[in-house]
Amino acid sequence: MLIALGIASFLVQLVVSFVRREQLRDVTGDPWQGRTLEWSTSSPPPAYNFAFTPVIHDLDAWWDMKRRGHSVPDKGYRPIHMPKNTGTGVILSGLSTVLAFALIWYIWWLAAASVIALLVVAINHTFNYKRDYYIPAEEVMRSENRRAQALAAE
Amino acid sequence: MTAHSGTAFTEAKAAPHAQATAEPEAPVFYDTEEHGHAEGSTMLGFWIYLMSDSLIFAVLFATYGVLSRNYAAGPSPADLFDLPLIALNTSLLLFSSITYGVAMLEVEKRRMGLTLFWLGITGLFGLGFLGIELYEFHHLIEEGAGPDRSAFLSAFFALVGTHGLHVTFGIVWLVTLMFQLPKYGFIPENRRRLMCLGMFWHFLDAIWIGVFTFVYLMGVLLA
Repeated sequence: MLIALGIASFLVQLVVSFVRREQLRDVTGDPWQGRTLEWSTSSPPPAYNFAFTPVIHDLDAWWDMKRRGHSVPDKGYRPIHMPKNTGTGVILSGLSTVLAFALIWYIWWLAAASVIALLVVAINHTFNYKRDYYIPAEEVMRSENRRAQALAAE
Repeated sequence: MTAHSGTAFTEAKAAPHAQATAEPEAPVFYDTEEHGHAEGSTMLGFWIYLMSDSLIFAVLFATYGVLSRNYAAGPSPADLFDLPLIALNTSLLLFSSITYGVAMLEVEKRRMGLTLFWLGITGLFGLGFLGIELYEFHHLIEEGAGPDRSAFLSAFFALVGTHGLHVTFGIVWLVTLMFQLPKYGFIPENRRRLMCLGMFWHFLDAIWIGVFTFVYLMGVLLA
């Protein structure tokens, strides 16, 4: 009976969260007065994480910043250097899993095939020289301004 | 407001102790002068990789050290190893390190043809080393001295085989670079890769010195 109540509460919570998702949505990124830096960005965070790298003076850096009155710079944005997305890491891990399975169960043809596939994918990846890009300063500014407006509207 | 916070930032940076108040003063919380990321971390990463590889070989050497006298009434190093052949093998690998160094000198002079030539020679020395090693392994297994014969031979094949696998992948890497160098030129990425492969190649040489000394020389001469 108690377990059924517990499960029911969980289901009610799921349903209420879903039905009232617009009213309950958090736009601040910091709904519970967090102490550490992940709470200082928007939710979800932008791809570049921080427009300016935070300088840390305390273990609970975000708490320290709020307590001592930080002010977020609203100009002087710079282009942000970013790594490009690539699926190679995940693909190599997947092939390694296949190789391990084949080795454990003595499936030699599969082991040979996955080793060859690993080599092909790895070597192919080394022919990709364009691995980074810059988020332009204007785009950073737009995204930061949107966040500032959302915070001001709160 | 924006101009004000800008000056406040410079003042705070120039004279952080100018204003002594009871309230804790707000220090610099955001790095507004950041100049991108340093690109020089690959070398450090590769050194760390080589050190972790050293640990693998340290473990294999330690295993060999413990098991190298456990013959299970089977053959001992003095019965099996052909020192002149191993001396030839060793010199092939040592010469390949020299030719790799020569290739790197040609990289400094930006001479593509000679770079590729010396890289090719390095690869051939590497292939020669691998060929002799495979011949030796084949010969041992045919004689009934395979890795399943005794603890000594298990440890021997694990240690020497792991080194041989490293050389194999080093050659794969070398051939890949020999395609990428003429295709993309002496761009920073390619020079960085050549540096890393060089470190890897010399590292394998150093490991082989250990194998040659502890496994072959001491195995045969101190038997």
